[in-house]
Amino acid sequence: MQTKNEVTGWQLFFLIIQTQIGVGILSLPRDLSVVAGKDGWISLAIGGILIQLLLLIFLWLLLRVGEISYFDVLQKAFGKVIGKFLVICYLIYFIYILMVSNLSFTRVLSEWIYMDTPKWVLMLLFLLPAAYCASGKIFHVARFSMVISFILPVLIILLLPVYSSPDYMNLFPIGSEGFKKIFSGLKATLLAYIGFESFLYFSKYVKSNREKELKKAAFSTVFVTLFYLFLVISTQLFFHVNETVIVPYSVLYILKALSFTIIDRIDLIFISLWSVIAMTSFINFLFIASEEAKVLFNLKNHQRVLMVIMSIVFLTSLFIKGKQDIISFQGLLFPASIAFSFTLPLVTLIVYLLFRKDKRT
Amino acid sequence: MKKTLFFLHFFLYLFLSGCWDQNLLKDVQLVYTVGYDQTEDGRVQSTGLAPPIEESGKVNEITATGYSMNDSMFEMDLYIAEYADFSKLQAVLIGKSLAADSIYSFLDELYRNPRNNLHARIALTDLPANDLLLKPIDTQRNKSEYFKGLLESSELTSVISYMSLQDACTIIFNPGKDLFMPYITYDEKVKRAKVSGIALFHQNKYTEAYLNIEESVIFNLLNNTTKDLVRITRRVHDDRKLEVENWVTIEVKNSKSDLKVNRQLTQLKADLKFEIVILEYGQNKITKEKEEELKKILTDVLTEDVRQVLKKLQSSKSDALGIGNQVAAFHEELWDEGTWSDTYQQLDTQVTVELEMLGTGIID
Repeated sequence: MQTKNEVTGWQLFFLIIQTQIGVGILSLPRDLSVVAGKDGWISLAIGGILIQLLLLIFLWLLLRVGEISYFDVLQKAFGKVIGKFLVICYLIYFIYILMVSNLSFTRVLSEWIYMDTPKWVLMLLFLLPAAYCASGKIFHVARFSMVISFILPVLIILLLPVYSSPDYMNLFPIGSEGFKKIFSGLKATLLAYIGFESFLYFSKYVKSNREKELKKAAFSTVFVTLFYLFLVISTQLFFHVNETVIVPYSVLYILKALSFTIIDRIDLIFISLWSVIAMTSFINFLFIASEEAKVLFNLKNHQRVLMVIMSIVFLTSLFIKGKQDIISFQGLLFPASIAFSFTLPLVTLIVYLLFRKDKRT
Repeated sequence: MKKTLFFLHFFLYLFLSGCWDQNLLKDVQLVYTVGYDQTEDGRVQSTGLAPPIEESGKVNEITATGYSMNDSMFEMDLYIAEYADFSKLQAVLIGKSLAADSIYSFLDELYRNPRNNLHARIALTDLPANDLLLKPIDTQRNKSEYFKGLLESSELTSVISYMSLQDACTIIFNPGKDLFMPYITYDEKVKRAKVSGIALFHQNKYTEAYLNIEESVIFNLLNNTTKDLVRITRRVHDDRKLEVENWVTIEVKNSKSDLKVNRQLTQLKADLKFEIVILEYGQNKITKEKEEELKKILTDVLTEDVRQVLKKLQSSKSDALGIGNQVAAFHEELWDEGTWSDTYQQLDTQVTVELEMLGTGIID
């Protein structure tokens, strides 16, 4: 039995997958076709390749940095004061992500099935189990992510009936939307891939056989890309692109429109499986945030600070009520993630490596 | 510790959801069939049929008028003891008055509301939907379930194809395809409704044209949407005294239709292949020569029929077969949404029908 505070390569692989696949999968087809039309899946594929390349760069840098956590690297690269400040920024960023995913989750549920249930109840039902799961050790979280990953094939199987009467015309002509639209589709795509950077934060828990195990995990985005592609292409085979644009949660509409002999509303089954997937993403971020806060404030364990983060998320989420408020609140996600998930990690790792080189010569 | 956990379980039950969003059967009236019309001042008139609570009871009929779909629902609720609920909706009948305007603005609510049943069949009615639903109907089943059965049985014989609320909306959003749906009339003599063919739309508006039953079967063959049973009866001779002997009934076992537009957008080529079985032939004796003769005559007759159907579709500007989709997908540089319906009307049609006789069934 593994009881040490570490994870294996496969566990890391699933940790990253579950952090990436979150609330967004329901609205992904729509978000993509709004900007990229019928070629949304091309943007998605390109985005996937870009993220995969970025992850490989991260991997290359991480292997050179050695066994040290990313937040320590931050402090070593920029000095104590700026480093600490950046760590606090990261903490705020994580809390922001948690709020966004909490808000989106409750929004979907309250629009689709629980119209009359008060939002705070839905939030609590989402937050409490998530907090419980995240309060464990890293291998608890990792194992949970791994077990939950068996739901993904089920989601794929539920969508297979689309292929009984697909309309391939909806995809043609390939590439007709033009380079510009495909390119602007990348933005929506990148939001769907957020969570890949958890590779940085979780990698410190991989202790034995580091190089080989990290390499395994670095290819998680391939899996996520294929999963997303299946999702988006299935939607497009079912709906004409003009319809995808007006349908907020395309996957749910498809499932609602499919009829089986015994079960009529498989969208409701889907949504209950999906809520677990959405929750793992939340759990993983919550775990990262509270672990980071633990180190920052020199605490013994992360449970207390986790409760504090949870309360912040819960209480602030209560004040964002209107649909437009939620949307404009979510609008910050793109610039924030560009800064914290793309630019900063790259700069930090490079600066750290250069700085160390200076010391040696 | 164990005791606390034990009591905690009871406490946790309080958090179980469902208390707010429960949908109890005793609180709702399940509307099975609903009909919509537009009144002269643009309001929505809806008529709902709900099944009787007891087997032999009377069907609940309610008519209400409102400014929007939801408003008419709200009005409906005022008349009934429960809430009208569409989660078991089986059929949606659209009156002509409503289909004369862009139909989607009305369907939107039905389509979006997550509680509604998207598999409900949709159909257009010759007379106002309200009138049709309130007319007496001789049926074994109760009236609220009648219309679904009516449509379903016509689907089996390939007169119409299954058109659900979801299918209709998917077509509405597709610029390269026009809507079509079953067309229902009322027969005063036998006091029953009748599926009389397929109503043709042009850009979500009813064109006042519909395909009759024979044409509808041909349409389904063209559209590759046939179901189990495809029967075609045609007059093939003129010389027999006994009228029955002039006719033949065939069953199409397998069919394949291939529609193609040429690059210049001037010609529509329809290639159809049928594998048929002769079911009934008045002359009752089919020799080898006779088979050849019948095959030849039938090929000519069916070719002409297909041409007629295409012509009717073109003259009513209804691109129900989705030819525009094909142009948009494969000749993108020529695709123009604005002028497509004119181009479509001017297409020349070239039809080839190929028959293969699989057998003569029980006829010797």
